[in-house]
Amino acid sequence: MTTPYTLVDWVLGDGAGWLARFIGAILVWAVPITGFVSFVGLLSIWLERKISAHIQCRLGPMEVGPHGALQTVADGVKLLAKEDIIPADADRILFAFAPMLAFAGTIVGFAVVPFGPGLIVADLDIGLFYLAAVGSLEAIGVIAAGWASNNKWSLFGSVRAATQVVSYEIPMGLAFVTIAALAGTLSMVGIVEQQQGWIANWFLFRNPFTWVAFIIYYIAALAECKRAPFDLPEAESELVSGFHTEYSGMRFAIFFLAEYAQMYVVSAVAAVLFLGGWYTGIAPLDAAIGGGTAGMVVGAGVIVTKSFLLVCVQMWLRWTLPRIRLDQMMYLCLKVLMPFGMLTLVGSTVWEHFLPSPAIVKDGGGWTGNTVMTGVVVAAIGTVALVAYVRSVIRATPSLRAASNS
Amino acid sequence: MDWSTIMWWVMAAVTVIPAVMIVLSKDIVRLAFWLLASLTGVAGLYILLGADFLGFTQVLVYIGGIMVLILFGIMMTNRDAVLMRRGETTGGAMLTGVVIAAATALALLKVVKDTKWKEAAPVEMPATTARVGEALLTDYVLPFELVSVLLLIVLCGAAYIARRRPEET
Amino acid sequence: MSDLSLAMPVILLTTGAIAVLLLFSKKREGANPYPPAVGAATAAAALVSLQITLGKLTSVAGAGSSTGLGGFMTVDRFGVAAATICLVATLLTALLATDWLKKADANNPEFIPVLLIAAAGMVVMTTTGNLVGMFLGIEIMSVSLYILSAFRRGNLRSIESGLKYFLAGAFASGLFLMGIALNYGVSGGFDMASLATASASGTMVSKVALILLLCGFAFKLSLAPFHQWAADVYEGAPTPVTGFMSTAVKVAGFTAFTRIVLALSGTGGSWLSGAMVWLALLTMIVGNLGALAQTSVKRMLAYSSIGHAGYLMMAPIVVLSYNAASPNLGVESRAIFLSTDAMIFYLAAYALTNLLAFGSLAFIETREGKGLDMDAIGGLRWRHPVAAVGLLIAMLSLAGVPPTAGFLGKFRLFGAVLDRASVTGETAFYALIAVAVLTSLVSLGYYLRVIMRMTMHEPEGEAPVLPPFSPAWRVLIAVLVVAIIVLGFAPSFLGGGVEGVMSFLRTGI
Repeated sequence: MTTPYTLVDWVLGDGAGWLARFIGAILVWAVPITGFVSFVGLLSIWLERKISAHIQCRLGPMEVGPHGALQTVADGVKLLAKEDIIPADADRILFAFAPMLAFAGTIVGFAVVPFGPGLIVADLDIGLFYLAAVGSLEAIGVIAAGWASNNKWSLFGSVRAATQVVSYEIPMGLAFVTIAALAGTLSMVGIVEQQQGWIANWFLFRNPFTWVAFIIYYIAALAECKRAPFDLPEAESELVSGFHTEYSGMRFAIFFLAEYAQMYVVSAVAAVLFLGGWYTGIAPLDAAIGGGTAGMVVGAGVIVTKSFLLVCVQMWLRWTLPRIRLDQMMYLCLKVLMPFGMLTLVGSTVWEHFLPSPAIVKDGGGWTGNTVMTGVVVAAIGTVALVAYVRSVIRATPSLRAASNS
Repeated sequence: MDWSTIMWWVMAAVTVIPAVMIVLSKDIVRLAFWLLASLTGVAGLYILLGADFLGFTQVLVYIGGIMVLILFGIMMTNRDAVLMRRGETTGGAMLTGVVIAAATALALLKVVKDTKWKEAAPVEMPATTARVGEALLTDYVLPFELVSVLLLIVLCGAAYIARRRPEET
Repeated sequence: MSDLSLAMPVILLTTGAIAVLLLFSKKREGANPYPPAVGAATAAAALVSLQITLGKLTSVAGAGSSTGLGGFMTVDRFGVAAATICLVATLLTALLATDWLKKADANNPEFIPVLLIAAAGMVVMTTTGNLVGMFLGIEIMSVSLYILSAFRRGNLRSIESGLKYFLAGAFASGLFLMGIALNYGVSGGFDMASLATASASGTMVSKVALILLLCGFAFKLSLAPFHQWAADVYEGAPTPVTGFMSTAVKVAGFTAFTRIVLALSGTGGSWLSGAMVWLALLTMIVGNLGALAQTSVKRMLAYSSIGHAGYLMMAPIVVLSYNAASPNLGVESRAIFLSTDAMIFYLAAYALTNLLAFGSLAFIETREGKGLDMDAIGGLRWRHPVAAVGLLIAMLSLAGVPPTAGFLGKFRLFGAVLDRASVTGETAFYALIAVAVLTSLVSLGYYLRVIMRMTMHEPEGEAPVLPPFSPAWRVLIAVLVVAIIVLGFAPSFLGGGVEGVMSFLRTGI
């Protein structure tokens, strides 16, 4: 593996010893990322409250800070000051270890998530595979929490988490493979660089099947994050609070933080795989910004914005969709996402084989015949799906059905 | 001592110490978590050997998949006090185990020391992923496909044996 | 010849299995006659493709074998002959199981796909020249057999059988895999040549690797003292499955093992033959004495199959005694030729015979719904003459009474060992012959007891009202009976597929 030129090299210069590099990596990457995760947590929790409030025609927190922006900070202080309770019959060591495991399992994902051109901890050449591998580590923390709490609701929650995470890894992997086959690389930076140029170069618009792959990925990512409509592991209405029923204070806060950090990770990965990473999608604009520090700053802004938009979509979905049942969750994974994932993989490779479009990548973009065809196919499928959906809604709603019949 | 030697020792410790704890631990869930640590160490050793793909496959398959399923299985089981007492280790069994383990370890040590292992020249390891992928689809395509046949039959059998019988539905 | 055509039988079998799974998985209720026919057709297609491969092989002048797919497929006449026996056994099992599959607790469409996949594993085992391929073949075959053993899910004995087989098999696979790993550590390869390299190095690790491989095979082939699982598994498994297990597995296992031994012969691996001789002697004695004590016919046949594994083990021992330093290489090659040839013939005869025995027993079991202890076959001659004739011929052939195939098999196998004994003058070979002959005599005791029960004892209790015979089944039994007798008279009936299988082998590997 060739060591990519990273921030650590930039800070320390070449020829630093391994100890210096190790400490450098901690200072340059681990500390800021932990800080970033906290920031993401604070921002996301505030966003979630505001979005949920506005979806429900409320205002949400308004008192602390402008539009309640400091409410989360206040809550954080409250959590820190809370008494640290461990249930009497709990497995004390595992109980204390579980939040750390969950948090560590999430944060290792940041190692391959780029924050901008050159702003990546390690551009592993198996980056995507690494992500798939560490994606389920958080589940182990959740399982540990559920078991250690010695509480049946917690145990139910963690068993559900195990089922869900292990199952949804497969459709997610299929979506990964679809993109990896198109990009010809597993490196996150390599994947982003293939999407340079106009917006048509984003893998989302590469062919009709990548649309499906994106949807599959996003659904699977929701399930991996245990977000609604896949929040069965915590299902408040049935399991009190699921796997973290017994947790309070700082330990609970760490679980919370891990969840929001994972939301950011999966969204950033979606941005990298499908939405052009740090590119704006406007070829002349990217060219004008160029590389260097300006490129880094703008690129970081672009990718973080894209990621946060996707995080907001997750929140939107959470407050819109009802929770699905366990059997529906398994049905969706095994009988819907997996067959479609396989079809997507095959379809995408067949499309690329018969309609080769390397020119897109090489020329820096433009609206080619392939793009038009992709658009036509997607529009056609979308129209059919929309019509089918509307019809099913009409059929399911007695008043509408009566109106359409008369 | 350079970086990789230190990391080797760290990873070896991460592999071996939890492995010992697996044997000594009495709580089956704790045991599973020790196993988790031990497997992580093995993955680290693979990566140190330059087999990064293999290392992360270890993480993906064992830690992400098998460990979760083991824990899942344990949580489905009952804590039966009688059975647990039956499973307790007696002093005699412990002694026998230690003696056998020591004998095996000695024999292994002797064999490992006496053998002239086939050594590969120490080369700067290039990235393995692309080569692994290529090998799987060229020279190793038959075993690759056979493994999928094997998995198919395992899946089929598991579904068959676990499926509800008609009279149960 | 293209690489893919070498793997054609495997591809056909797998495709057939998947097709049956997809087509018939919805049909749960009611009698379903299609899967056995489809399965038999698939096995037949694989058989034909195997013969076509062989035809192409022999039409290439001077070529004894063809290697392809990265060295994972080494198709030679030895492998093709063994694979042919396996596929014939699969075909016959599929057909013989038709009646049984209509029973309530067996009426599941999974039987045929699993059987076909097991056959695919066997074909891989017999025609691969690579330890990894061999391991995968063994695993595919074993996993399928675990499922087949536990196929009657409502029956505790069947489930016990599957579980026991799985535990013993998993252990054996572990040993085998460890052997492969150690061998790789010494030689840096997985092919048969790497075994020779490792063996020639004479290091401790290579010896440990070989012992582990030997133990793995001993488990799979139920050689004493690794045989304890066999009786329970054979008894608990559904009867058609037991027939399949006791024949095809032995064919594939002994072929794979002989391939390993062939690679070792003449490279300093002969120290292993000591262990193999003891294994063979012990297996013969344990199997045959154990069979004497049984009251269940199925269990008796299980021990009898252990005994037969002991006889068969003599062939690899002869192969291993090949001496590359001998001044008379012609004699040395003849030993390998004679013993492997005899082994293939023995396996073919044994496969047909045991399938006939278990086919008849499965019929009795299905029709009468009783167990298979000695009383169940009392007076069989009056109740089911066809089944009785089938069982009679099978017992005679297993005991090695002329003019059956079993006799000729034993004659040729013992003859090959005797030939070797006279060349080398080693006491081990004489001991093997002596024990083999003596235990064969002992075996007459329990085989004849079955015949006595069938013909001389009145049935106990009232004779049950019998459903009519299925004509197809009667034809099948008749064909098997005729085949066994014809093979006993005219071994060349099997044709070039078996005769002279080995003539090229020294150059071929």
